[in-house]
Amino acid sequence: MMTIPQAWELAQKWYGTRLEPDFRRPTKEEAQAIFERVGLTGAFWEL
Amino acid sequence: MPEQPHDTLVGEVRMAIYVAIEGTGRAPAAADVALGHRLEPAAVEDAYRALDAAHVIVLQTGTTEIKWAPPFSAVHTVFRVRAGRSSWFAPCAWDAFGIPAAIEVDARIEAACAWSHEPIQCGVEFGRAYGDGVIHLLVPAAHFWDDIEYT
Repeated sequence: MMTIPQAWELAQKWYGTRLEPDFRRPTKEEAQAIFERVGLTGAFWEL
Repeated sequence: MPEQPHDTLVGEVRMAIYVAIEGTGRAPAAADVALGHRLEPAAVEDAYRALDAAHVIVLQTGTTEIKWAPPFSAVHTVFRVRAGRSSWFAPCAWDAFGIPAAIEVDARIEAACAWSHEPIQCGVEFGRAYGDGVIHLLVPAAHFWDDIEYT
């Protein structure tokens, strides 16, 4: 579960570079770090 | 027609997809990208499949038709995102916020509660999120891509 402010913060970190030519998907480690920075922690958010 | 390194071609095709869907709300057919970028149609279809395999886009099963180019959906969903006179569909609530994040605009999000079907109004105004409620995900993060359409 996430709050709307969390969803916005997550979306910015996750999709902020999506339309850039040099975009690449985050690695597993980078994705995990994004979740943690947004406060999405615990077993549900473990990759 | 000069040959292109695969990664460069896939990147060019990816950008073509996203430019089209951002501009029109519709995902381009592989044939249209091939024509517009003077590429071999078969190579563009291969690029579509490579992007699908890499979880960058989601194709309709067994085809090269784009269902999702996250955060955009090429098909109608309950998550509609409006900015100015433009609008798009998003695959999910997270992606609905992903659209204003990706194109760097404020946006209004029209959605509905999955349980009560009550309309939900939220979005981004002056760079800040607004709206009531929470976003409830059923599938743990490690299994998002086991069945991304269910997720």
